[in-house]
Amino acid sequence: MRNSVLSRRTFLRAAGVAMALPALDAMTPPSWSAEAKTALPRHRMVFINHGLGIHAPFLFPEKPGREYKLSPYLEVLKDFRDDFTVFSGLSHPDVGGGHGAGNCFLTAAPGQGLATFRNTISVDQMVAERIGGETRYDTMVLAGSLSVTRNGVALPGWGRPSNIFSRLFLNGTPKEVKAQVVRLHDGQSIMDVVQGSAKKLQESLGARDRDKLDEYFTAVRDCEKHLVKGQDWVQKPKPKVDVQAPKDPGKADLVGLTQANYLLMHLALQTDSTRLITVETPYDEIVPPIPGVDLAPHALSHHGQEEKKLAQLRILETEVVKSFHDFLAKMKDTKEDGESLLDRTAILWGSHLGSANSHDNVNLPIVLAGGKFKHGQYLAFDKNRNKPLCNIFVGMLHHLGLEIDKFGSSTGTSLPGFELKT
Amino acid sequence: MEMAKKHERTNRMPHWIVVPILLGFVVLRLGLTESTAADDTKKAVKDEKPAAPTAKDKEPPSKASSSPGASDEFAKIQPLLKKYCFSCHEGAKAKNGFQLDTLEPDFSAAKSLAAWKDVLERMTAQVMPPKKNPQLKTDEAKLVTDWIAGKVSAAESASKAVDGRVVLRRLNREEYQNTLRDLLGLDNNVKDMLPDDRSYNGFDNVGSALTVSSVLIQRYLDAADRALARFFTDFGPEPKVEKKKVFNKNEYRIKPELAESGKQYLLLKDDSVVYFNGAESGYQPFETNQFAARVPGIYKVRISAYGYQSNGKPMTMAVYAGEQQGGGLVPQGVDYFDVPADQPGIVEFSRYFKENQTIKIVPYGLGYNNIGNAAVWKGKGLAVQWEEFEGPFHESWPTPAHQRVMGKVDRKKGTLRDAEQIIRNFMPRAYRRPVSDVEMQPYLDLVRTRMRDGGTFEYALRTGLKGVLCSPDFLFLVEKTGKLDDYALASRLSYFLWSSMPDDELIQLASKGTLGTPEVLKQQVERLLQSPKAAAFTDNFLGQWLDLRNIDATFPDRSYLGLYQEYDELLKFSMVKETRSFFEELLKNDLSVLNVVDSKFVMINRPLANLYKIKGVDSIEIQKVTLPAHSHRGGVLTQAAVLKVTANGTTTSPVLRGVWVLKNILGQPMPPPPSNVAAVEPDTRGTSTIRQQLAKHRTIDVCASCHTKIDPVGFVLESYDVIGGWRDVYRSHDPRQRKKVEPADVMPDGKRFRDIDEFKAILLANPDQIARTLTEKLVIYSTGGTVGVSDKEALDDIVKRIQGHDYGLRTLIHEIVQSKLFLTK
Repeated sequence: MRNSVLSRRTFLRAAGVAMALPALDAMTPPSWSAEAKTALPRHRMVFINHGLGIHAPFLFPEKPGREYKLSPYLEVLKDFRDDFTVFSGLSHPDVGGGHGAGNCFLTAAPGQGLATFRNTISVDQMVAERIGGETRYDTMVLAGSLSVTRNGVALPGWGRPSNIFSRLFLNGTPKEVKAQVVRLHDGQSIMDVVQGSAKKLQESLGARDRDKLDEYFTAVRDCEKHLVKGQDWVQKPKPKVDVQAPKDPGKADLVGLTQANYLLMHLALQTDSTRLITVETPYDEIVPPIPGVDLAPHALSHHGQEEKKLAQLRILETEVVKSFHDFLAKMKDTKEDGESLLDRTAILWGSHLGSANSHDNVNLPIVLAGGKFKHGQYLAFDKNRNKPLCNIFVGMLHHLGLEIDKFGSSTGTSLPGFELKT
Repeated sequence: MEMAKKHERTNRMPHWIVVPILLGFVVLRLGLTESTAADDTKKAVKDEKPAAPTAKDKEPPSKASSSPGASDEFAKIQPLLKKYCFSCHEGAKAKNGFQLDTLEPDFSAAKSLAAWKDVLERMTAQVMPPKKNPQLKTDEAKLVTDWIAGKVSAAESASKAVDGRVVLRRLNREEYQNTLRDLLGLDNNVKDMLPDDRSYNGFDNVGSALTVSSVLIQRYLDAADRALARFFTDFGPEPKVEKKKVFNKNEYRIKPELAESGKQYLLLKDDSVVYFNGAESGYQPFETNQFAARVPGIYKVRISAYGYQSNGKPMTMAVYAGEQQGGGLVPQGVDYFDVPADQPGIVEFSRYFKENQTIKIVPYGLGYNNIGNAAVWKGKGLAVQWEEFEGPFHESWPTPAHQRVMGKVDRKKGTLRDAEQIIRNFMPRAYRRPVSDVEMQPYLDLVRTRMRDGGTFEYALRTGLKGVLCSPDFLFLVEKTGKLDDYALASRLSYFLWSSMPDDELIQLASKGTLGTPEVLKQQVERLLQSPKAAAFTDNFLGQWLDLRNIDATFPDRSYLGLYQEYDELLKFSMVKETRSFFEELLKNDLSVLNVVDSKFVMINRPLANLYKIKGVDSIEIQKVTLPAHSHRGGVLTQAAVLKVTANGTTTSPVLRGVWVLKNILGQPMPPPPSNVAAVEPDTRGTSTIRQQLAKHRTIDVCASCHTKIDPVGFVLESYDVIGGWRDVYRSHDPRQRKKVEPADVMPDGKRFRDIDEFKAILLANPDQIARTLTEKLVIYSTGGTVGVSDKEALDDIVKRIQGHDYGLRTLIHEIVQSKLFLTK
């Protein structure tokens, strides 16, 4: 089934046919439809954002193409040269606002910074509506605020590594499980009752307020679905893993925290606890215990081109890239149905800041690793006329086997020179 | 968080919340406005849900736009637009995608209405047409803006007649938590369980921004669970008030070291332990492990401590409250105290302790000292003798709120009848209005079914209460179009000044139908403002208006390489206290809101006095100080907290600060820059100054129209560094970068100023503008609804009413509450 989907697409693209596929309409959230469940391969998608940017001159190679010379950061990742693609000249059109644009990294909603700005759904949450039902957790928001609901609310992160571990892998006692079943059941009854109240309330409201209350209705109905799903899962034992629960590193321990996050991400994907993960590198305003670094990450990101700061920034970011390297290694070593987990997981690694120094949101540093893509090159697009980052998102949707041809500001389903594997 | 120093004040939890949202930062590169984006038909259709259309899309057609005369008037306007605007905004290649030639004079459609408003804003702010293009003559500009304003206003009025100005709004996180506190008598933190609220026009209590998602509903279920679990465990006999005195020499970390002849610490004859290292050293020995609150409640804490070898000068200590978690105490609140030299002084305060909380004492300002042997070390130290904890104190037991809900019913022995009675009493309080039997029925049924199926009384009751706490009538502040009924008014008033539900008195007045009378309203505003709960108003209004919530967003660099060695936690703590105290001083004494721009006094303590170089303040307590001549202080613009939140921790940006002042003080929000202009890349190597960099930017005419307004305001504040200290020369390790600050500039209208003092005088020449900006912010905050073009007169009217009262802040609050904007939906 998966192959047929992909090959049909590939055929059409090869034949130069314009996208006229009867696509699953991105306008209608289909929830966890039965068809989607059986048709889709176990493919995953991960988004990793760096809230303080990634210093582009240390990341981007000098020349584009397959034969590019390794940049300092790519040197760290060289083992996987054929498993990733580096992109420059990408951004979300009309998404600005410096740090504020973090919330739009996966939504591409324009106009951030305006008083009237409204965010829209993030790509991972849009996918969760379609494939979330298959795993215990629809999505995992490890840390940060990349994941945004349909009405523009950023989802909170899951918290400390030790908590996340227990949520993923520790089973409750039979008594706790029973209490949870009762809780979920009561939750459903409550959802029924409050819907009744909302209906009554609606009668007394004007048209605009009724629209507002509609949000509540939809939310209550969706919540009910989640409760039903929870009841299915709560009695199934959680997967066993041969790993100790991670200890929570201190707030300053940037490397420890990053590694703990990657460990949990790998375990969650390996055990198919979720197929969608978003995470932000845990930068803090504290000097991390890294030899050679005595300024906090934020101060370093405002390097003002000073050599001393740039040198420290390089040390710091190299550590962050090393953790990413180790994650890729684990993903590649893990096999599922004869395939590597890396091949089944499209991982977007980058930042919503093109330059943290100027809080610029163009020319974003982007690396796409794993998944069903032809990798191994550096694609450099026009610095002054960026291509939409959303085109990569759409490519990632296709990697998942979803027939969605448009997301946010996308102008196509891929980018020139970048393709899915056949 | 501040610890209350008076016992009777402490039954509330002052919570200072810092939302980790970084300030807007430089927005030199930003997207299209919402309206232009919506008009750009080439733009991709967003993944928008058809099920929940936004209010705007469904606005009923307004009469204003379709009246027959409309096209005639438009015929006069369009030639002007054509003459002055179409050169850039016509056809497919229109700048920024903003096409004026195809913009219909249709003010009923959300998209074109928003586009016209955009035109109006930019023309009124005189940023369009760009400075270098031909400008409309004064009467031409007036013709266009008056026409648009009239049309927009009519469209808004039509919509208000049907739906009111305020969109149905739910409680935000803050309000939700406070409401649970008052409803159930709970102290627990449930707001952290809820996702962040979005804000609109700067405030997170605006209905249109407060969305509801399934995640939020799930979290409401969880939060109600947590709250009710706590509610039902609070039962039991009233905990005895106990007094416990502990000596620091017995702390398990200190005791063995003292036995080893005390290398780090010194044991004195009066049983005091002296410590010579500050927080910076990494040693934090005065964690009190001998006490932890078993039962939550108010505890009176007394600490005996003094300065040792402190040259006869008092010592400052920080006292943190928090929970011990493996690695040490996780601070959840802090306060600072001075203790005398040489002789034990008793510091006393009361504080609400959550379960398991204890304290930690950290000497302030000692830094790291390699002391070798404490016995021979000659440096300063803090001697701590003992700590005493007395509590828990409760107003009554069970708490009054608890008694309100449960009456005399025992949770182990209650009957179905009891449960029903409890729900019947609870629902009107939760809904903040009378509730009919029909409305109650489903919740009573929830309880009945569970008891019938063999569930316990407590379980059944909990389920019923949980249902009520997730119901729309509890979660939303329901108001009907037109004049508010007294119950809705009671809620509006209490959520404005307390960020919480109305109390019995308000509800009683509502039930009598007298709340809406001017005298009663006046009395009630006074009563609410005098309550300790009004701290929530300062927290939430000021926290958002002046962005104090962002105080922790950046850390000025105080490492050994850092430029801001003098910055520390105490200074930050004091900054926030200053701005809060300043606002409360204005509020308490009905002082003029013009003090926002300039005041003859400041509210400072010793650390701030040092920063501001003001002599004669030698206490850690905030005090009102009359400013000496040439202090360059006064007003909020020169307050450290404001100067810090408008900087990025490392450098200051005139653009960022300029935009901030225009928006928050002068009421002139700047439109975001066009997306096709490159941002200024900060370069601190010293090759060019920010003034040179921006001057270059200003040569681009599309930039100039805004930057002639923004930059002067920003440049005058360059006299202050990232923590609010005065500077004549930029601070840097690199001598090349130590350039002179150049604050002098010219306002767009040609007025020149040399420095901040002259600049403030220019602003004060237009007092209505200052008052008007604050009025608008307060109206938005107090009603949870934004204001539009059609509300201009009502706002102006409020400003007029306070003119004769020297623009007093308290008068302003009263006038707002008595205004139609407040009294109608």
